Amino acid sequence: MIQIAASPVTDGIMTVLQVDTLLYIGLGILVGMLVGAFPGVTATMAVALASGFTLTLEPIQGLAVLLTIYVAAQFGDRVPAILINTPGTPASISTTFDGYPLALKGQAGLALTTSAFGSAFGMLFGILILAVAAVPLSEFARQFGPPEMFALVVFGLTMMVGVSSGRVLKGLAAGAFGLLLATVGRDPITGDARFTLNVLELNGGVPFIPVIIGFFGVAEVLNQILTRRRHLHHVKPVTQLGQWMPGRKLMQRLFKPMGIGAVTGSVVGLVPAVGGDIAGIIAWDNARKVSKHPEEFGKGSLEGLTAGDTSSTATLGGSVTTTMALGVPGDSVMAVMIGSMMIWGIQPGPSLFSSRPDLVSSLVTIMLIATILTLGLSLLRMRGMVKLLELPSHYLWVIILIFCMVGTYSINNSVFDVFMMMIFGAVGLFMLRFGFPAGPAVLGLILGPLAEANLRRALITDGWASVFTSPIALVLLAISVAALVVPPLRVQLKRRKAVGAGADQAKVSS
Amino acid sequence: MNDHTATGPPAGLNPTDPEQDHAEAHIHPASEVLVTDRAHRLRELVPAAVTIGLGVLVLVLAQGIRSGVRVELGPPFWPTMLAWSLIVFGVLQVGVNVLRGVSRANLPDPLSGWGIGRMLLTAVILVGYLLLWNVLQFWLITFAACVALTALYGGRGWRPLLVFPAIVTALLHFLFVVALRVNL
Repeated sequence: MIQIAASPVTDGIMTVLQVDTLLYIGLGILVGMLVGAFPGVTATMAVALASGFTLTLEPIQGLAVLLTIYVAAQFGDRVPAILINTPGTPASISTTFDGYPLALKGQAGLALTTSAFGSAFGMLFGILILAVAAVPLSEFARQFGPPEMFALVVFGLTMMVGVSSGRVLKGLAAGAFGLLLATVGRDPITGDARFTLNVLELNGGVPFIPVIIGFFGVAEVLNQILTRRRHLHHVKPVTQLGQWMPGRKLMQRLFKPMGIGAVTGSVVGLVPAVGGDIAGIIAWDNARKVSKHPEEFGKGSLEGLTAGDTSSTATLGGSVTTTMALGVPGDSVMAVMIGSMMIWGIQPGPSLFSSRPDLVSSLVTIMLIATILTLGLSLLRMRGMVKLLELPSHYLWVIILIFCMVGTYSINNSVFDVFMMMIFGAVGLFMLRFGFPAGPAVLGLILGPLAEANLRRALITDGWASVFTSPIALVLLAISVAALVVPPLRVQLKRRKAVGAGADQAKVSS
Repeated sequence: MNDHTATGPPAGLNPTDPEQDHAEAHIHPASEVLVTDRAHRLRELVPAAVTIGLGVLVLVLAQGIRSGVRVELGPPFWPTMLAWSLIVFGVLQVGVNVLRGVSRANLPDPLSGWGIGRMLLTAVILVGYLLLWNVLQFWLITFAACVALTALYGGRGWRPLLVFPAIVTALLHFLFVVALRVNL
């Protein structure tokens, strides 16, 4: 009999290899693939919905469901991007660039399988980043005191605001709104009641899972209901799949764009709040620059397709790393997941891996199993997936709305929570219609107590000097300011250049 | 993940038009063109006013926070700081989005009269569903709510109006009542 020495690594792996956890991974894969395949249902929405009924599970089982949904959605969302030119989730925007043109050329099958191989390659690369970087990063972050922790929260919030292109001010307002929501309840230092409006249930604060479900589930569906036309022309999916598996020569040719995608996605993924959609587009552009056939990009290039898909999935490892090691969510899905983890008693942040050293290997194992199984499922030639794309959206709306209601109730058996969810669904709809991104608001709600307690502690100790004399805090705050100021300045410069070019053209033509 | 909660092609892109260069549209978006007509500028006053109004409301409410413990930087400190931030962001929104204009990419999809009616009826059905939760059997009201919502969204015939609600109800009953033992 082989004796396996007990260590946090083996403990973490063995926890995942339990039969019930594996079953939950299977469930997560099915849900994630379906979620990805339906345009209009984002991974954030699915994870928010699932968080309602995974709270009763053991933490590792619940994490297995949520993480697997996230992983599998990264594969499923490529299907509508390739067959109907509509990304299943934002992460597959770059898939549409070459995926749909390939499908129109009769190469949909090849596009689907090479995309799956690229996505799996990117995912494995990202998992490697998680395995290698998570513990050193958290050990570095353990040196952080109150000023650095406050700066870290500001950094996370501003990164999420900064990527809300063109909506920086509204993103900041949304972040401040989220931080304000977090002040409802008891003061973190003195315990005094704040903004509870004499409502007993609010003494414990605004419950964040109902808020998350309201923002990402109800608000999104209501917006679709508001804007979808009565007699909408339904886009017919491409049904001729053509050749299915790629040959060895083709795979060898695709290795370079996959490498470009993996490196780009990993770097982008480590920046909090910048996700797969941006990484995919950057990698697609990088691959085009170094390709021998740049003219094919955007017209049906398998290189472009795999570069974008590899990159968008490679971000996931980095995103999980920053979330777990720093407590700053890598993207909005991870922000939702932090909410669930806090209810399970897992507090992501610098001290997580020292108190739960087995967790890194558990996360790596969950993501590895999910990637391999989802790749296998994606390589099956499934005609049913094409049929699913023809399903009218009203079925989805009913399922999502009813699940939002029942799922929210099931958290605490509380009708108050369901009312909160509906109120925040309406607030989320207002935000969506008027351009306020929901991500910073959720992040503010989750990180608010951390930001407030650390800022007040730092100020009580040595005033603002404690923040501005810490090199780490200063670097984080400087990056935060740059993330907010540089993108609008670049847009302004581009706009001026365009106006200048237009004036020059007008002079020449006159 | 960039917080585009809505999926689908960005403004100006037609998913059914294969000739359109989607990649170029994303890398060099037309979003940098500003919309400056009066209707859109007036519309942008709404979020700015709400931001400022919320800030003022919090400032007023923060005055009423009573603390039993005398500490430096007490409970009103942080909400007051956030309220002032909101007021500043609201004023800046007026300067940037109202006076200068808003990017085309940041305009929402247009509303339809049919959509507004459908959304209001959805709200009525969901509130009714919630209020009847502890009055009638869970499976009965869930089935009725599914039928009502499906009919509202255009489902016609026995399959959308009978089979689909029955499947959803059975699934919810199994998942929440049987598997998770939620008291419904």
